[in-house]
Amino acid sequence: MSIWNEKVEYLDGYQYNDNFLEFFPHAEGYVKATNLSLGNNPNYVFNYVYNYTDHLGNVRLSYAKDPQSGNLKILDESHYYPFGLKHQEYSTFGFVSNPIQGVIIAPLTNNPYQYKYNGKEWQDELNFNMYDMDMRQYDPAIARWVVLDPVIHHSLSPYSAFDNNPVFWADPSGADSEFFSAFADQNIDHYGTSNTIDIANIIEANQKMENTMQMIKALIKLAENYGGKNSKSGGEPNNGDPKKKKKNQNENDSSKGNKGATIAGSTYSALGEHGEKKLKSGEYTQTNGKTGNFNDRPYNKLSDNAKAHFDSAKGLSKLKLLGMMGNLYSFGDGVWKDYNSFANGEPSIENTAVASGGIIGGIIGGFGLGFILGLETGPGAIITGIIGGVAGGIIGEEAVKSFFR
Amino acid sequence: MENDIHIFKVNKKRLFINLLLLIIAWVLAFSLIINPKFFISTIFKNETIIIVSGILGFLYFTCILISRFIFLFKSQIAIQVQNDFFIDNSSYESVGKVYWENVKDISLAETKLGNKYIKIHIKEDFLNQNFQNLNVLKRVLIILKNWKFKSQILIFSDFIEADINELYNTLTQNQK
Repeated sequence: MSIWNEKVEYLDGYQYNDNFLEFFPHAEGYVKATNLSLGNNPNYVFNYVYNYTDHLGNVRLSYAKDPQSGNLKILDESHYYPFGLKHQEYSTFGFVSNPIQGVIIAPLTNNPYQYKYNGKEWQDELNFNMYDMDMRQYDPAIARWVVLDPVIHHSLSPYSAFDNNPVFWADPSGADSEFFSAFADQNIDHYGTSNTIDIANIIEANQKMENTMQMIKALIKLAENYGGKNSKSGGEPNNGDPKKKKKNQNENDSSKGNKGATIAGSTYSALGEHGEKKLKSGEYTQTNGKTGNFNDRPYNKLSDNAKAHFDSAKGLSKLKLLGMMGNLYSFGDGVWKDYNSFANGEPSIENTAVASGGIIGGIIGGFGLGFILGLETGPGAIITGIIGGVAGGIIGEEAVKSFFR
Repeated sequence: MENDIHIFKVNKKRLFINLLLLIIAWVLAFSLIINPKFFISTIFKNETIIIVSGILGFLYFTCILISRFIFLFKSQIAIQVQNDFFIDNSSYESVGKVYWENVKDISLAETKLGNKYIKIHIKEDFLNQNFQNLNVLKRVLIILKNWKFKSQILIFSDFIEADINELYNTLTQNQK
């Protein structure tokens, strides 16, 4: 309620005062509804009001276009102390209320739109002077919540707000402080205020870029190892395993007309099974023991079988790399979240464990579905693998989550 | 020379179980389309990707389901091997009759999970000609189940009443 003897109703952002619409939100602010009728049958005129918000979602400025002069007009300007106490009015806009000439956009004495700090409603009725966050009330004058924190943090008082860092954190829910860049993901909040601000986007973009760069570097290193720069051409080497040797021999024997080529990164090496000779990426050995490199030899001069192996190896390597990247990214994401929790004094391994569960479940599901359906070859195996991976991933994650619950 | 005929029958029990599993997979793919949010995980975070995967899976599994239904009711003999030729009817989209003169090579291969299958390299002219005469469903299935469908055919023993090694030996012994 804005005034104690008035009945204010909230309907998912639409706000009514004594059954008359006052405003409703839009993507960048709100639409002010002015009732021109004095009777019970309202005759509304609507004007768009735009909010300028900072990186925490605090509404700093509300402005609109004056329909008569065509110029922008500031309706409300809010400046806050760090913990949200609003500065006294120091600008004079001539707060005039004239409902009959409601089409004139003029700042109002009792502006019904009271969404300010963290984009939340300022409640001044009965001199409460508190902000109504989602789950509890906040008093900016004492910089404390007036209700206990619904989430226990052993290191902090249950009444302390924004982890005592209101420039960095926002807490519109009243249950958990939010890192301000999180706003960049949700351009519009519940009340229609825009939270997009360049600096937040830039910081987040930088962070993402840095993370991605680190991940790419790690992947490049991994790919180099995988590709044979460190003399391992495909996963683990076959150091004297007689079964693997035999399998390799059989493969070569069955390739009639192919001069017995073993190719680095071939179908078998993609499975981690290759000859005992350590090959670099693109290298192949012949049955006579000579080593060559596809880069030195025209593709069209290869035998049909070697071409087939080479094409398959290229395709599978790319696919496997893609899968590895996806899994590494997911795992890195989990680790990163846990690192942030750790930095906030709440060490947890849940995100990492959930990501690992998802990855393991995804791999098992991806391979398993193809196996039980007998669809393990050809491009269709990829489709089956993805479907199995999606289902297995969510099952793995939920299993780990239930363990933590 | 005596004309030996080796016959390998279809194992309908396994085929039926496979059909039931396929129906579950088909429902799973469909649920990816209608309720992608449920399947959002750390790996698959994007709803669009899940929906696209669901659509692809739904189409693929539909094709497979139809083919296996037809195969269940039509086929009796999966593989027939003779001195002059062999007939592959091990699946709906199988190539059919192939004379040994068109066969270049037969080899035994394994999938990533160790499921063995037979890879038969065949002259491309023969497979191309055969491919032109097939219906759309068969063409789609062949393309989706074989990376090199223009030069080889794959025979799985999943729905055959025989061991893959036995089948492989029979084929190689009769190959000219």
